[in-house]
Amino acid sequence: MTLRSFLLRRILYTVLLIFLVIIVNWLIFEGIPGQSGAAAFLTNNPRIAQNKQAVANLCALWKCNQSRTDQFLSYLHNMLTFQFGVSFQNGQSISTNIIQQQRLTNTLLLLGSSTIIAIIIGVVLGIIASARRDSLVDKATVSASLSTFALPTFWIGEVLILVLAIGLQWFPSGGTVPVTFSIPGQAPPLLNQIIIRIQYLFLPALTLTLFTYGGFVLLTRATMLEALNEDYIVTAKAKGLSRRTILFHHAFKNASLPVVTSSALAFGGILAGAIITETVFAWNGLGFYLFQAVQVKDFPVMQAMFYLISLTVIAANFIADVLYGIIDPRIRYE
Amino acid sequence: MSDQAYLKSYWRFQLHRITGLLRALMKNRMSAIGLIILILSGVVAVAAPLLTPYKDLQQVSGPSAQPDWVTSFPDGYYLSKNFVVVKDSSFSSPGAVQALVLTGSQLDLSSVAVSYDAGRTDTSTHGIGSLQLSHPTQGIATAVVNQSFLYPYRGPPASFLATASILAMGASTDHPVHVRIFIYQRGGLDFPLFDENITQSGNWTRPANLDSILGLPRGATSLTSPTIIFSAVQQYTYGIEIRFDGPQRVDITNLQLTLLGTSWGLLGTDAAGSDLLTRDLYGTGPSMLVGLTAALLGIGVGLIIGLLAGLLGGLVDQVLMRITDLFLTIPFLPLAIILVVVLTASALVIIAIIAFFSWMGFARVIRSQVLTLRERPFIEAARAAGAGNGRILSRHLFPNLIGLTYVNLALSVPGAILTYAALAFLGLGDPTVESWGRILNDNFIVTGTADWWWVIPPGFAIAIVSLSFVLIGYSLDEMFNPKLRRRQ
Repeated sequence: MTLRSFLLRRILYTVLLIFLVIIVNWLIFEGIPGQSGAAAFLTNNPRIAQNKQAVANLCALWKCNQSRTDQFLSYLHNMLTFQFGVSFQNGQSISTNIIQQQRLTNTLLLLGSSTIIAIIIGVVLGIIASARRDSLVDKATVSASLSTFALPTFWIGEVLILVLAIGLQWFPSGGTVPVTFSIPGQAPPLLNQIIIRIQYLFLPALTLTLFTYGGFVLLTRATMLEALNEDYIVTAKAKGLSRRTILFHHAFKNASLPVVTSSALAFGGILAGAIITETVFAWNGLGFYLFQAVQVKDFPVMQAMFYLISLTVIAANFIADVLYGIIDPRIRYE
Repeated sequence: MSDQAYLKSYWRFQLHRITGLLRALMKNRMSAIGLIILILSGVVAVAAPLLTPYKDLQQVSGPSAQPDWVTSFPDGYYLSKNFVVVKDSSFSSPGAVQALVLTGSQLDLSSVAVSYDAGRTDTSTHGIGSLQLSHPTQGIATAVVNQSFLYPYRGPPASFLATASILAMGASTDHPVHVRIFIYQRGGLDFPLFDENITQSGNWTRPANLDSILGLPRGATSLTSPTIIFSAVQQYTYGIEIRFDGPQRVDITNLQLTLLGTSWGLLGTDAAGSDLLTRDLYGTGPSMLVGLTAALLGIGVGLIIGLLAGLLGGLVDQVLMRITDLFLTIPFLPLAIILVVVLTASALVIIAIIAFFSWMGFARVIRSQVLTLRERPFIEAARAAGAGNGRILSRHLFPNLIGLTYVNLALSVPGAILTYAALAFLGLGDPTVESWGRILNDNFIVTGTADWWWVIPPGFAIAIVSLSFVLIGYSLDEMFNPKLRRRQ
């Protein structure tokens, strides 16, 4: 298989996935009888349901007189053009809200920074642990990594807030940026802004990193142990190469492939952690918006958030696939 | 061998196998710790009602009370504890009447008779007897029944519950019985909690909301009725004043003033004033059970799909594996959140949702295992000997998959426990079932994260129970997976 046909296949698969998400999203919110947006809104707002004119207006807005097929087609069009309609809660346009509040950027900032840090920590610790197998360092690293599978993310966040924000007062306990940023003339100079932003980002990113790094440690350690058992390592040792060269240039180079692929596969899981982390820290991203919408059964917002979050995961998977295709020479000759 | 004897030996073998497994687990230090934690939490889950004298969600003290031991620190200077003013509020014996003091002017008291009535009581309040004041003559007379007490705490109570049931015989619109319930602070401050005429004869009157009588809604300001009334270590009098007009008789029962403290127990109370330690204990069972059931279901689904894909191969395999890939790509938690909101937040629905999205990894593992096992000589031999698919599956394949199943079950329970905790933390847990996630959600909604005695224990419990499964699963993995053993 050539790289080109490989990429073509992945693109096709990705498009298929996006359509699947769109269909699932429609089935959940509108496919179930009595669960269409309008019906849900009216059951949640009995006072409006009594007003005939208001119901008629809503019906026109949500196209409840059209056939199911037409409804689906207009829904499909809206999703593909990112028009998510208005929120039940305040009548605000959802797309405008996402752009104004920089929700997507905030989520990607949190996700990106913590994933990169987690991968670096995970790879370094994993290599160290594998190089000193069964030593105290190895055991401590493995135990610490295993325990991350048992720690509830939201609780890590709360404990960090208790200790670092409320107790020691080193970091703000929540929010994305201080209120003063949005007041004209009150915003501090750019350098200070960056420092303050990092202060706000620190605790959520730390929470998410603590949630993520364990998996990378264990994976790197396992693939490294496998690589270190290979014959070419014995050859390298016999050649008298330094320990460092063997570890990084010979073993890790080959052990890094699974790390790359699995970091993309782990993205969905990390995103789940991000939703909860955003909620704990009131971090103004997609996950926090979803949480706010859930509290008041704001169906259009929930629908939009699920769509966007799924798109993020699918995009991450696609990028990882492409990377994998480029890095791994075997893909091209399979 | 007869069927029965076969069955007997079969079960004996299984028992032997399980005890052997447990013994092997106890030998490894990691899994031994895991097993001990697991057994302990199981005991707590079953014995929760025996470990605490209170019921789950039963109000025991003031809302958001701090733990008792905080009072020993400088910060606890201003805390108060529960304080019950009237010892025998149900009037179970004549002693209850004697414990109260009757005051009034000489003239009035000479015309009012006090007695204990064992039979007459307000049945809706679990009363036993009542205090009876009778005024047989014409004219007006005022009598006060009261109880003095020293309020011993420097800080005010969180709230107080004042109750009374009053039955007035012979009252009418023209000749009402006037009732006034009050708290009197020595030094001259008099706080009327209830001050009304009773005009109907023969009905029990039960004044309600006596602690918001100063017209200050709870939570509106820091000044609530309790903070104003109990502002100092002082002598107080709680009493009820009856003014007769004509020949009338009044029965009083359920006379009580309970001051709910701002400190309570080992871990304080939640926003509804229920004991947090009790809630933590009661949360053990459901938190573990939901996780276990969801993981079991997920593993079952994974086993079936993996077996089908591995055994049937071809198109079925292709389709099933593509579906598995799809499930792996769809972000699970947001979908679970949405499904719980759209469907209902009942424990069964949540278990089904978690199980529905936790079978994929195991299905893949089983499929690849079946694919390699299928080619092994012993399967070929069995087939050559005329064994059917069913027999090969149950006698040859399945025993070889049991180790993997144990490992993956143990390793998927923490995920399920954490997912349920996360959903409950977001406010999407079953509202009728107690759980650690729900306790944390209550805290998150009320105070954010300031009360560490509220936040730390349930989260720590989730972590410890999940960790026990991780430890067991990891050790099982080493036991069943010879590849992971160190090459000697």
